[in-house]
This record gives sequence, C-alpha cells and structure tokens, in this order.
Amino acid sequence: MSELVDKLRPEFQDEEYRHAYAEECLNTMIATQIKVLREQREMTQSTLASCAEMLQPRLSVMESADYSSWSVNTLKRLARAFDLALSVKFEAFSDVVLDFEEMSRDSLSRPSFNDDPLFRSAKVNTHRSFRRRGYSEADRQTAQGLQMEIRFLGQLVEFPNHTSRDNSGYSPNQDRGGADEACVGVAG
Amino acid sequence: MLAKWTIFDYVDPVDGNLFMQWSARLQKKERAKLNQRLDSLAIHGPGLIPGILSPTGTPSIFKLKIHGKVQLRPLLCEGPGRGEDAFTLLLGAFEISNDYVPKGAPLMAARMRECLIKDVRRRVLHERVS
Repeated sequence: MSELVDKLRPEFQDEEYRHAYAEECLNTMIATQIKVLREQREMTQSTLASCAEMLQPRLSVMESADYSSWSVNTLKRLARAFDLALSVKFEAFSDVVLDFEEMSRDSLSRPSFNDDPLFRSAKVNTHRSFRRRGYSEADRQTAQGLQMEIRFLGQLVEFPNHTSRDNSGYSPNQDRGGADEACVGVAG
Repeated sequence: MLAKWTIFDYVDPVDGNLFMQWSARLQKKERAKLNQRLDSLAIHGPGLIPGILSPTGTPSIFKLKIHGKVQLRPLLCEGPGRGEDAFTLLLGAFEISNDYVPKGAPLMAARMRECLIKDVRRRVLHERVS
C-alpha cells in the first residue's frame, strides 16, 4: 500500500492536475539521477560536463529539481558520458508515482558497461535490482564470505577417510566454481 | 513508503493559516506542482533531491523554486525545533522580475519563525489544498 497513492487518488481524477504533478516527478527524478550517477562514478560537475561536451554552469543548472527544459539530445550526451544507455518510455501514472515514492540512491544507481553484470558473466542473476547496481565492494565481500561458507560446509559433510571425490558423489570443492555465480544471485 | 519528514504550516494568531489561504488561490496546475514538491520534501527530506531547498539570503529561511507561468516561492524553515525531522511552511510568495511578492518576504518569514520558536503552538500539520 502506498500512502502517496492514497493521497493522490482523488487529486489525480483531474487530468490537468495529474499531468502537472507527473511532470514535476519527471523533472525531479532526472535531476536526482544525474547527481546520483555522477557521484556513483566519483565525477565532479566539471568532469561530467567536459565528458558530455557542455559547460559546468549548465550542468549545475540541470542538477536541480526546478530544471524543466530537458531535451533527448542532452540526455543522450549525458548517457554517453556515464557509459549508459538512455531509455525513454511512456508510463502509467501509478508507475511514475510509485517510482518517485521509492526513489533512493540505490534505485537510481546504474552500472557502467564495464561493471554491467550481464556482460561480465554468462550465468548471472538477471533480477533488475541486481542489474541496476552491478558489482559493488559489498558484493565482492559477500562472494568471498559465501565461498568460505561453502568450503566450511563441505568439511562438515566430509567422511573421515575421504580423500577426493568419493562414492557419495560429493566433493567439498565441486561447487567452488559455482560459488562465484551463486554469490552473484545472493548479492541481488 | 511513509513520509519521513513532517510538514507544518505556520498559523498567524489573527489571520490563521496564511499558507493554506495562499495555496487555495493558486491555479490547479500550480497547486499540483506545489504539492509534488511538498511530497518530495516529506518523503525524501532535503538530502536526496538536488536543489529542492534554495537559500534566500536570510538565515534559516529557505525557498522552494517552482517554475511555471507564475514563479512560486513558498518560504519555509527547517524544524524549527532542534533535531526534529520537520519543515514549517511560513509564507507563500511569488517571484516577479527578481523580486518577492510580497516585498521583503524572507524577512517576514524570519519574523514568523521567531514567533514560532517562542510559541510552538503557532503551527499545525500541513493542510493540503488539492
């Protein structure tokens, strides 16, 4: 249940009202995502402006909730500077409102191509929440932790006289190669 | 998601909730933009959305910049209670030709904030005008 949707349900019965409200959501979300993506890449406004072939003062104006003069061309240049694809879609009002309500640093972060999990490994969790972030230091630590846990469990079930792969069909290290893939899923 | 920040309206002892009265006089489209900005502040606070609060040049008084045919400049302060996750809407204003209407609006808002600090009963939970 969304407290915001409940509040907006009667207000959105008015066409002019809902379009004005959604437009403000769009402006707010674009400006916020540009800032989040820039900070995710540890770029300054000057660096990003230079990569996107624009002046820093212009970028500064765009990184503000009250900016509304977006053009697809400008957004394409920013996408290129972030090494991201630009996606422009038409959405239902409910999706816009829920996205806006759930907006956070994490939900707006996106991996550049080099950190895009789908292009790094053949077997990967394709869940959107994971794909959005890509690999983080926390994911790598989780991966290492999970590998250790699997090794530990392997020792627990190991028979005393066990040498290598025995008749049980289990080898403590057999899943080690798969642990990297498994941890990718856990990280999501 | 529940609102993290509470929004209040300043209440004048004689004229009542001036911010609500100002909101009620706005066109529908302007009211929608204002409500979206106030929802942004209530849900996300001042930390996530860049430029959601702009300084006015008067200490502790901020403005929301809402563009359109009419430039809305609602004036507000954080708190003013210490450590509370709240904002108080003090005064509804416009910006016309780089000047506030009413003239000197940030100073008026600062005086309202002082009154509120002296008497915390001079505010109510924000009364939204749909």
